[in-house]
Amino acid sequence: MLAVCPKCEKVHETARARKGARINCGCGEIIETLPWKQYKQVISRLNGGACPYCSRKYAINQYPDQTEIACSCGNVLFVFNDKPTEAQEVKLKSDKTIRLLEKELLGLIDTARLLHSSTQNLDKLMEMTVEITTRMLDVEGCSVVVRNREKGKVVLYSLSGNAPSSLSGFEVDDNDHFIGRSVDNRTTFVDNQVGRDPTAFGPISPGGFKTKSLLCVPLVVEGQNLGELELVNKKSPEGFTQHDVILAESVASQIAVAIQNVQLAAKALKTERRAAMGEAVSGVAHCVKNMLNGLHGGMYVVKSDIKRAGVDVSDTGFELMERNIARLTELVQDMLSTAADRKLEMKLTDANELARSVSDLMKAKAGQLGLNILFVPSPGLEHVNIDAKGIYRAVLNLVSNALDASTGHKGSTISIKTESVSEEYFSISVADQGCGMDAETLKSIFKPFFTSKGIEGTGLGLSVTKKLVDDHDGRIDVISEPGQGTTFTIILPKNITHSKKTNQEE
Amino acid sequence: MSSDKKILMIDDSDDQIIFMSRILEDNGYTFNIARNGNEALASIKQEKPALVLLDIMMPGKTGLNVLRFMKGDDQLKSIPVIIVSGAGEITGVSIKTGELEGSNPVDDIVARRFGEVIHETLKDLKPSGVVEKPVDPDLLVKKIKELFPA
Repeated sequence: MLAVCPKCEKVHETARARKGARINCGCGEIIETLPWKQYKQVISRLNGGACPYCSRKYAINQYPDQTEIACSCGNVLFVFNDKPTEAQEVKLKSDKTIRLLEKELLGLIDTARLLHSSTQNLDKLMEMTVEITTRMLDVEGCSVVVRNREKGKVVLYSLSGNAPSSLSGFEVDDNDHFIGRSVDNRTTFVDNQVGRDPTAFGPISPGGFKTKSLLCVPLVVEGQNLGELELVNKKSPEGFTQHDVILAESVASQIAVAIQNVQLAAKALKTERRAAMGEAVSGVAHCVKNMLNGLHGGMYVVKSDIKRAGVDVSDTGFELMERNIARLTELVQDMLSTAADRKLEMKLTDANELARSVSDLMKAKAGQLGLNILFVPSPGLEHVNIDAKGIYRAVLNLVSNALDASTGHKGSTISIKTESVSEEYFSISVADQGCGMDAETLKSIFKPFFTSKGIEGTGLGLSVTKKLVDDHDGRIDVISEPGQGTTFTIILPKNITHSKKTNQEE
Repeated sequence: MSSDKKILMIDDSDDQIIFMSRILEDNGYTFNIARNGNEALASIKQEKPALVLLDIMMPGKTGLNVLRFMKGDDQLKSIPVIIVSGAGEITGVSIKTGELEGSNPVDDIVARRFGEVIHETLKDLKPSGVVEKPVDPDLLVKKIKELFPA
């Protein structure tokens, strides 16, 4: 029973006082308990009819011998009756539990719906996830951290609670580990007494928000860790219970699948787009090739005309035209290489011979530019199984780039080295002592059409190389320092055991 | 330079004809032109050429057809024929060697098969030379001189 002091409006909980009982209010007033209708009016006046716990409107339930004001958040506010029977007490408690479970169930259903939602947008998915989870688990704050493998970063999505919204979409390097406890391990982490451990992390907020309890669940799908779900400050004094952990884990597994779906869809779309672009590029490239042949022939005829006319004409114009025709031809070749989904043509190759032939080919040009080429072979690489033509061109491209980077560094050396890295892998590296690249450039070098050579570069060489290396299940590493030089290292399996892309030579 | 010894140029592309005509003229050769297989055979019957420059990819009768006809004819089989063709570039298969052109990413099975057929046929029919488009004028002249000193 509640009694409201008419003088100071203080609310007294009288726990089942009978109607007509009297209460001493601290202010000196003596209050009589009121019938519930009048209480209702009083409560309305006090709280606007809203639940003091969750601010939602409460419902009034009438039972045979009691009246109850209960909120959909599960909190039962007031009960008006004479002393409730034991049965009624049990019923009250179980009703409360039912409401709580109902809420959790609805939350789980909403989460499951996420899986079927057609949202292509990871941001939107995260927003919905956080909203559902916050409500369902009754916490002050919730965040999701998603790992972006390609970029080697971890992205923080949609915070709720008191964290500033400027942190949403915040990107951090993968190994800059201050976000999330579970991103790299796969176990759920619970701490109901945060503050003791200085490495624990909670949403940052200037003043007011303090992490008291923390529940981190990894988002794992098919053995892959996609990120983490983090819940902060359970709105109950005992913090996160085992029940909460189980609930959070089931939510997390569904979120993980939903994220994976979005990521896979995005990847599929990207592949489709690239294939479509590839087709378009092929078509154009073939036409252009024919026209280039026409230009080539026409140039010859013009030159011949001029010679016949006996006119003395400088070579500059022709050189300009020939140079550009050559460039166009190269570009068309590169475009076709990029666009086509070429199968690898695997062959047992002597890696040293391959690198040596590149070195020999480029020695003359290097000499002209005042540069040295050094070739350092390594034993044990006589029979590696690779797409020899492709890798030859890749190494040639790297050496050509190295020469370009070294203009202005006369006397410097370009080193081509082969090395057996492990039982299964070997490497070919090309190092120069030229102009190097800064961090910004390094981010973009493998993108198609990215070039720092201005009009001279097609921008396709490295992207073709990268694709080739990826198709081998290999890796290409770059180390570079502006002003000091660059080293590219291609690491390849000595023998690809299985790949959908290989076209084995018997 | 014998003016009755003419070269016969067979190609359906105007651009290619203009280009090769100039190469031949500049090097003192006289020539006739045919733009397809039938014109070619008619021209050959009318005036036996001293050498034939033969394109393959032509509509109707291809160059292979013309070559086979010539090799099957007692009077014509001794005439030197240089294949001048862009088929290697188009199909991705080198018509000289039958191998996949490494730099050409033509991934079309049909196109490749086409190239292979051309290569096999040429292996059989044995032309006197093969020059691939785009033509290197010096190379063409060198090959012609080997077979037909002007």
